Order: sequence, then C-alpha cells, then structure tokens
Amino acid sequence: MTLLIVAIGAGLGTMLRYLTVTFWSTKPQYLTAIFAVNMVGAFFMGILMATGATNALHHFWSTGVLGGLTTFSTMMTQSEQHATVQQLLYLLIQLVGGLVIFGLGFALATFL
Amino acid sequence: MQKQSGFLTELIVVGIGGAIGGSARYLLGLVPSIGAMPVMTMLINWIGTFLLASLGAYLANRESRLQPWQTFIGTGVIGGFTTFSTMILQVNQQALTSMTNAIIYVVLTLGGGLIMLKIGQKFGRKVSEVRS
Repeated sequence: MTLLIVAIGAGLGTMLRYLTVTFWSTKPQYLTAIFAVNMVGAFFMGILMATGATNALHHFWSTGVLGGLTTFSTMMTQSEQHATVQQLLYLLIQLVGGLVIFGLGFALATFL
Repeated sequence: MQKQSGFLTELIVVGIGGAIGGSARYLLGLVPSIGAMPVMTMLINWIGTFLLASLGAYLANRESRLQPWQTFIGTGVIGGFTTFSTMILQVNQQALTSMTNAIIYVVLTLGGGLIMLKIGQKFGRKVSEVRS
C-alpha cells in the first residue's frame, strides 16, 4: 500500500519537475530549473523532518513527491555542460544551497 | 498540429516514468543498510547518473528507436529514481551524530557521481559504436 502511495507521489513530483524544466524560460548558467526544483525539494524536506512523522502520508511527501521532484542524475549530467571549474561550482552551489535551505525549512517548521 | 494534447500525453508519460523510478527507489530503500551511512541512496544516485549519462551519450551518437522514449526514461524513470532532497536530508541526519561521516558521505556521493558520469558517457558511446 505504501508502495502505491509513494508511486503516485513520485509521479506527481516528476510531473512538476517536468513542467518546471519545460517552462523555465531563461537559460541561466547556475540558476537552472533543476537548481530550482532541488532547492524547493530540500526546503520542504526540512519542514517534513521537523514534523518527525514516519507514516504513509510522510512517505507520500518525502519519498514520493519530493523524491520525484528533485533529481541527482540530471543535476550531474547538466553540470557536464560547464567547464571543469564551473562544473564543480555548479554542484557546490546546489549542495550548499540545499543544506542551507533545508535548515531554513527545518527552523521555520520548528519555531513557527 | 495537436501540440497541446501532445504535451499533456508527454507529461502523463513522464509522470508514469517517475512513479516507476520512485517505486524502485522506495523498494531499494527497504533493504536494511549496513553501517552508519545511508549507502543505498548513494548507490541509487550513482546508478541513476550512470544510466542517464549512458542514455544521453548513446542517443547523441546514434539514430535509435529509443529516441521518442528519452523523456520517459531520462526525465521520468531515472529522474524519479535519483533524489536530491533525500541526500540533503541524510547529510543533515549524519551531521547530527558525526560531522566526519556527513562530509565523507557528501564527497563520496558527488565524487562517485562525477566518476559515474564519465564512465556512463564512455559506455553509451561505446555501445552506440558497437551497434552502428
């Protein structure tokens, strides 16, 4: 049952990522559509972690929607479009950004 | 041209791919992990990067019947399979107990991902050469 819930969530998250990538009009060097979905995903993951729930609904959001929304593989292949230094910078920005924004989501959900 | 309905179909197809990839990730996550590090998410991200890089290199080098399925497989299945948000979550969880583990995990995930990217591209090119 949880599998079905996760599948539906991941399907929805992936569709949302596809829509974002499709309608991301500008072609910036670092602030790509993938960067955007990864940051949004990390933010809500922080909020979810603060709730501390582990039930099926939690799986729907975290493993499903946010897991489908965010992506590691496309981030990696996309980074390849840069020269080596910029490539590492691209990945580093997402990593640090993700950690910071995760903390922000966590703090927001904890203190508000 | 039925551009609108074509996009909707594509969107749904991508969603189904994401559901498949996400399910695979969930099922693999049920395997008990060995040691303190969440190795499975790292493996999932490595494998996904390898597959996506292979697919991209293969289709860039060769006319293939797979072409119309690139979005389904790449954006859908593989994109839904790998995850950024869970990786970030796990870095944080590890940082709570061991900062060293958290750093090792990040370096391994990204470093391994970069290696998988290179190997995947080589592999995809090789297969396309063999097949043409």
